[in-house]
Amino acid sequence: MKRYAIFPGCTVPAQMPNYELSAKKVAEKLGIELVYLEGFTCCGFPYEAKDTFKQKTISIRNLAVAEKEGLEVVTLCSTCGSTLTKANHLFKTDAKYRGKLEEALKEIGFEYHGKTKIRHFTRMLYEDVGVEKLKSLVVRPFSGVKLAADYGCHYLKPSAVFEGFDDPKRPHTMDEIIEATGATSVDYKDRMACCGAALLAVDEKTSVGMTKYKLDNIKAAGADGMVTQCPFCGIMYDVYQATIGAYNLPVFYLPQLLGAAFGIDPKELGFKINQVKATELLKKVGA
Amino acid sequence: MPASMPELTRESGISGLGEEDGKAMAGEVTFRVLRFDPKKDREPHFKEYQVPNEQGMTVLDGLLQIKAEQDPTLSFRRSCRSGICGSCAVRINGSSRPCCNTQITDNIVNGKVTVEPLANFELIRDLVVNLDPFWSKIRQIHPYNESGPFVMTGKALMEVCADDLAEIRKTEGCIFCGSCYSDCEALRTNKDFVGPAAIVRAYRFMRDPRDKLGKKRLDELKAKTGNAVWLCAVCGNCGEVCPKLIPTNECIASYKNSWFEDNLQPDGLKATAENIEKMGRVYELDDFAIRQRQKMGLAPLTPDNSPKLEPILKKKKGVAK
Repeated sequence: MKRYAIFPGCTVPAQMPNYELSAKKVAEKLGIELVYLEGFTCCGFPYEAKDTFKQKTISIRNLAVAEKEGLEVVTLCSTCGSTLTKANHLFKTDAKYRGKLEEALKEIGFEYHGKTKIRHFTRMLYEDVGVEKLKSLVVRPFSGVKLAADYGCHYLKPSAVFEGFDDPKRPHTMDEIIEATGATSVDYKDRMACCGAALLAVDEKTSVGMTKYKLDNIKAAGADGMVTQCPFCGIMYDVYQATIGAYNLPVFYLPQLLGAAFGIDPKELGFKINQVKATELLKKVGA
Repeated sequence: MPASMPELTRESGISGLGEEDGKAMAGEVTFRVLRFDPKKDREPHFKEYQVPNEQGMTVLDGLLQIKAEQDPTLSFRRSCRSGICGSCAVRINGSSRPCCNTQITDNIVNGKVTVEPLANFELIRDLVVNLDPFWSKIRQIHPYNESGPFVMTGKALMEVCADDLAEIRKTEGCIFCGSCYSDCEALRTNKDFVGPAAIVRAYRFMRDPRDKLGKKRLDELKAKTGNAVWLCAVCGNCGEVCPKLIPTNECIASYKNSWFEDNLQPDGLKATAENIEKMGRVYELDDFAIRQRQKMGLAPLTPDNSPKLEPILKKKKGVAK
């Protein structure tokens, strides 16, 4: 059984237990153990605005926690994934900065050697499980269902730290996983557009305007639903959707879609917590 | 930009092109170029051209070929042809960059090179946009050293240490091509945002020990827009498209840090930072969340698993890179 340290982050455990639960169920189905480690904190992302060095220290401290256990980190949140990967990249490539980080860690009784690997849950599925294997487990195909993939900004950016995985401008890995369920991943205008969540605490109008832009484009492409893999996107597209307009566009977390296609009861995938109900869509595929 | 202006989708579907279509021959490539003549056209539209594709040809070479041999009315800006002047930036397959140092061969998507004007600007004609808002914002941040009256002292006039110089150099390569402004996600929704290039420029002068204006250089913009700097959505596009590889995201973050130092940050971000300091996480796992997790069979995640963050965050100031 493969084991990974799951990095829950802040948003998922507090607001998106549906994402976390479905990831857990899908992992179980695939013979993967997601281990919860003591001592993970926020990845540090929001702290970057206040103090970039302290933010990096928070990130590296988390990686030190995982290194001690010898486990690879898997994140559900794209932003956690990007933030930790970026800090790790800096630690490994900038000797001067590394020295300062090591010093800061020492003060709090931690040490880190740059060994922790970080990947997004989706990337882990793509690389370690593979699309073919996912396809082989589908018992409830989403044939004829048109879904819009929402990659989120930080799944592949900054691209310099992602070792050439996928194409940040025209990505395909998530589409392939969506299509493994039998669904069609529909194209839409500006599919890499940002949800605007980072501006929610700054200027709600701009933030929600950005969300609306993408929802309008997805609706125009005739999608039956949307699939996301980032909790920030989830807040904007699912939780805020009804306040923006009458889109009635169900938003799945990628593991929810996979779990439903694998025949797992939707009740066990946390669909109750999704704000826009996917009931009709799930009925269509017999779930 | 007209609201109806066509924009690229991933699969670059061709529509409404009719007889203007042609088929690319061997050694040729199809250029799909956005055309708009405000005197004749109600809407911008795409037109396709077959362009010879020889090794080493740039997208600008392709546009020059079209203008010289196929359609002299095609309008676009260009000057130096060597990636220095910044005037020829366009969107190539949906992503902005100067076209003079962009190879055709590396940019063929589904058999075509799609060329559109920069986004987030008003369209004037074909690939030419009105850059006034971009330049106006750059001007408003006072993009020069305000070093006060020049006094001969006989001592070294300027003392810039290596660290400061390294930081300044990081940002110096900007050629003001407008690519970051064009691909900025926040700007698409809110045109008041100052945009990445102006922030990077402001940051460059704020880091310069010779400069005396410092953060005050933002006052003018702040008076007009209120939230000049904070509208960055941290999408990361500017860093991806910068042809000079300026670490724009890092510059914007360092710039925000300096505003935090003066307690000028928006309340929402202050509260978030305080939560991280107090709890090690952004959101408290309240009783409802804890019960819900329990019911779902999820790990309990104690809300206070981060006391050891305190020493880091208590230190007065981080070590800036």
